[in-house]
Amino acid sequence: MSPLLRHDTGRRDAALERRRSTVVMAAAGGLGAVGVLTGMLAASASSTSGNASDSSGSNVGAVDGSGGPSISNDGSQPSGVNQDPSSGGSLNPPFNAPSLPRGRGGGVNAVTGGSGR
Amino acid sequence: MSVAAVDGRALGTSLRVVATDAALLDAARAAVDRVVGEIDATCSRFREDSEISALHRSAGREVRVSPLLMQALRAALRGARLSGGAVDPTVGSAVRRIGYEGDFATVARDGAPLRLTVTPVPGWRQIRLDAGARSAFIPEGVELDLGSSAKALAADLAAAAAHAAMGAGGVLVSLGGDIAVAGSAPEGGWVIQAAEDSNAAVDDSAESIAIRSGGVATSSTTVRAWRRGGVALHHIVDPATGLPVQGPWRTVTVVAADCLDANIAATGAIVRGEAALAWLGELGLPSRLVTHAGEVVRVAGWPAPAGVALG
Repeated sequence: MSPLLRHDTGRRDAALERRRSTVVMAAAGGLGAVGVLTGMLAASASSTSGNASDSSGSNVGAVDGSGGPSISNDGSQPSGVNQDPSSGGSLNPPFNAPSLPRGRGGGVNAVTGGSGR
Repeated sequence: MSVAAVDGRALGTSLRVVATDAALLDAARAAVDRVVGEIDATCSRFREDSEISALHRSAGREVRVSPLLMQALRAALRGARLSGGAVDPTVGSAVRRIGYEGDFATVARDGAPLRLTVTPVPGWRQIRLDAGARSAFIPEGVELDLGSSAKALAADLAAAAAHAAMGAGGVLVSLGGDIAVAGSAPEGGWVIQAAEDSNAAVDDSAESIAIRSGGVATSSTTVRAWRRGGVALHHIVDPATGLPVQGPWRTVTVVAADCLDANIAATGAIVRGEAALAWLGELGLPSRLVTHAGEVVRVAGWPAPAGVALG
């Protein structure tokens, strides 16, 4: 894998400061074989990386909550949808842990996977 | 009581609604169609008449937005923050530059070479929301792509709306493999087959899990993919480069408290690469990750099939 395209977020800021690179993808090449033609990154790394601790969300107000489809549950499970950027310290794990299905045969309710068509 | 299901299409992908009571399936489907239609009219960057397209045309000034667009924007910014910037809604221009310029059905699967520049996306902190005034501001030149979060949000909202319309029982909604459930689960739980492609045929020998609440989402580099100049491209863009992610995972499936969080985590894991294993583990999100070589790694309580050790 090209060092340009590594995804170790811990190294991202430093890497970003070094690169603003024109990349040419040759017909027989790949993203792993890109050519670096010019350097120096103009954009601010802080606009594209970071973590929850440095995102104050100071421009984001409280949830309005009016109108639109609403979330309604009968209490059998928590209403998990949480779109308030200014609250919630992490992504929420499931209320019930997933388990292996009991038995085999014809019981699949849905298939999860990538969506392309 | 056996479940009943209906299949269709929405948001440019497959739609499946499953109800625990066949007599309530029509009510569930109608509610799902309403919510999904609203999401499409609000969040589709491929529709000139969508509200987000209007927001793009208003870039550079603060504009009032609908409650639903505000909700979707807030969801996207929350996802960006909680993923450490790995899932960033300002990838719109980058996605367009790599050839994904319209509904995926219209994207040519092969074509001439592209000349691409490593350019970090503008960044989610450029977006300003004022919930009190219900207004949004995006700088000129910034194009949003809520695809990563809006479909999952739609699944969550649709499941909740369907359950409310049914008045009893439980419902599952799948939008292209992004799955949300609401209400009571059938005996044994909702059985979800994990696959690369949400259009895969049901296979009793394939790996499946059972869930009783929340959501499941999968992000994959293998399905929404195309070639330019012989180079394989896909739709998951690394905000740091503006180019398709080149990481170790081709597919990640996550179970979370709702589909939105599952989607954020799945996409975030693809972008984070190797670091995703620790991240998902710390978050306690049961996940199944597939390497490009096909090796499967299960973390944080994703149940391993019999005879398979947890990764």
